[in-house]
Amino acid sequence: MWISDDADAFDRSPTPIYLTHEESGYSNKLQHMMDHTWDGFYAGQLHKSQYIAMLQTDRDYYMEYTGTVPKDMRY
Amino acid sequence: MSNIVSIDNTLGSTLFADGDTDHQLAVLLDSDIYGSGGSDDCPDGHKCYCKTKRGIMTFGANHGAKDFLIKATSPWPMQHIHSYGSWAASSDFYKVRFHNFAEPQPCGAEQYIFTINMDQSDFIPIQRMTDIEFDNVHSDRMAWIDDPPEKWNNIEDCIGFPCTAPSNFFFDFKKVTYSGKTQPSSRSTNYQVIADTPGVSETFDNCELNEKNNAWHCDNDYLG
Repeated sequence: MWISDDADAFDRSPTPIYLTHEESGYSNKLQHMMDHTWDGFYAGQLHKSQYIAMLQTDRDYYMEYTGTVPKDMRY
Repeated sequence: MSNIVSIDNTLGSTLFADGDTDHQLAVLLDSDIYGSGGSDDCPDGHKCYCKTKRGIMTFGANHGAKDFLIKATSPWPMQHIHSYGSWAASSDFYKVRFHNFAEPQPCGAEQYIFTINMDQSDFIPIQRMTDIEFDNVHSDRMAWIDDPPEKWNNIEDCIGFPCTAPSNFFFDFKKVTYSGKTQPSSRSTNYQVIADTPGVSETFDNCELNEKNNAWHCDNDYLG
């Protein structure tokens, strides 16, 4: 589980994030959190940049972002 | 939450923490969860109520929450979630006993012990199960883990493809015991149950698909 602590963590999303492990064939496509708020008909377009992936912890995984990687992240 | 007795429950017992701190915990302690009470749910003069029943709906944690005991009427079902997942929550079950999930209900509908909340699109913590007893439980009724629904692919939830929480959590069982007339075909003391996620589930060591649970059963202490 990890999260962006950048100032634009709710405004900018680098998803989908691909987590892969070539030897086992593992391929996990990850999404951001749901919309933070909506005002009547309109969604807020604010998504918390927090991600959760299940994996086998005795392996090394390759992580690929489809946007600029946040500078400040917590794991 | 402790000393709960739940019987013949349609949605299942569930508990949520709320907020964004590092210390959120949803715990069920020393409780008994029973399956169908044996009624056909067809009282005289009324329509039959033949729905799938559940023992537990996954615990969790979200930014916003409702009261522990909801007093007000609500236009939404109580289990609905309207905020994003929290950071680093835990959900623990200690000394919980599950009884009488041996057969489908008398009306023919199924019953399962472990299911997920179908509003839990963002984050389902690892469901840590310690000191668990299964009394008169069949493996087919152990769990049903739904796939992320395509309707989550929308502007309010997850744009472009559905949110992935149900594919990225698992039930982690430790110190499990079995009793009663009906017992699961596999009676491991320590094991894991994970979702059926193509490209993920089949890549882990020592995991086997159980189609009746829409889930994989694993003997793999490295899952995390």
